[in-house]
Amino acid sequence: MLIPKRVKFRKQQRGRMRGMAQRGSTVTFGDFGLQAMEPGWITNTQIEAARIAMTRYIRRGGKVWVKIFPDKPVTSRPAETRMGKGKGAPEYWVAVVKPGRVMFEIAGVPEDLAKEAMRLAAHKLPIKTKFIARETGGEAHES
Amino acid sequence: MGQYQLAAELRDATGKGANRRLRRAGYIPGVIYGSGKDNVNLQVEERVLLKLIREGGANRLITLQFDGETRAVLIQELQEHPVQGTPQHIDFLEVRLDEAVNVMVPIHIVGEAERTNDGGVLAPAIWEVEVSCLPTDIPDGLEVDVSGLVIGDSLQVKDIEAPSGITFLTDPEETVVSVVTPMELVEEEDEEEEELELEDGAEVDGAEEEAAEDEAEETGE
Repeated sequence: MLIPKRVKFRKQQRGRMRGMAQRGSTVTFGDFGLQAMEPGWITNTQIEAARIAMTRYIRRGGKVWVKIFPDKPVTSRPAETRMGKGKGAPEYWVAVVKPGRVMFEIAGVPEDLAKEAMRLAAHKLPIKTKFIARETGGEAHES
Repeated sequence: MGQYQLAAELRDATGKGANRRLRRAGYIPGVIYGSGKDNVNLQVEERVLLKLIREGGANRLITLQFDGETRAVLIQELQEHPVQGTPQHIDFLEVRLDEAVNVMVPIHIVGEAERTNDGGVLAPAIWEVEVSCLPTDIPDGLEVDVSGLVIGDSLQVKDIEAPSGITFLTDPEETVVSVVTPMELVEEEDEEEEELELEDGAEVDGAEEEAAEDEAEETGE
């Protein structure tokens, strides 16, 4: 599971997700990518589930890149507790994703296989996504 | 000059609002600079610009016409919308035809079908190389033949045959493409199992809490 090795502060404020991805919005390593169409928090378990779904579908051959990393801790309060007594304990980690961000890339497989693998991966994510191809390699396709 | 022609118009209005109105009207705001001349704000028709890029004019010499002038330019930068991918702004660099320029040239991989079927996967490391040449000598692309490669082999920039008048600026030792062993499903499954074991060990507390929550909810009801 993806998790930072060491962090400076254990707990973070939630923050806001305004605007669009300022970087990481193009396919850079592979031939095809899965691009976020709306902002959201992607947890480390969701990233792992999406990665496994992709690699299982393409079986052998090809290469997968995960271009997001969950570096934000999310805390929650124990059940049945009264308000106050400080912030809750860190429960899980998320990657903050903004529209336009290419989250996964894939290479070495035909387009139809890549598209289906990305579709399966997209089902593991809490946001709308789009299947895109490298700019020199073809057109973008809605999924 | 170049085989690519593009018509532009002078642009008076600047700023966010004016440029958004321009984009809605089907134009892309741009600017031309270089050759020691003053910057000029321009606008080009989006449809025409996209057609030119599709036809391979992204890194080629373009004859830009505006306000009765004709200038030889290269596309220096094309800003794109992060989600829609539509062009937002374009920078043209005016060049002198007798001075070498540094440009990125795409790499075309050929001979993939002829390669022996050893189960290896082609892994391109870079997609374009930087070259120095006269603006009129910029090639469409550089061909890299991978038909003789087997698993473990790779090609470097120094292996690309440079057309006459072209000097590579990218490090000659940089890998262009390699043939790697394909990802095996068996390895993946082993990896997953290991991870699951780790999770079980690390998240025992979390699991207990969840069970306690469920019990509390049941008693509450």
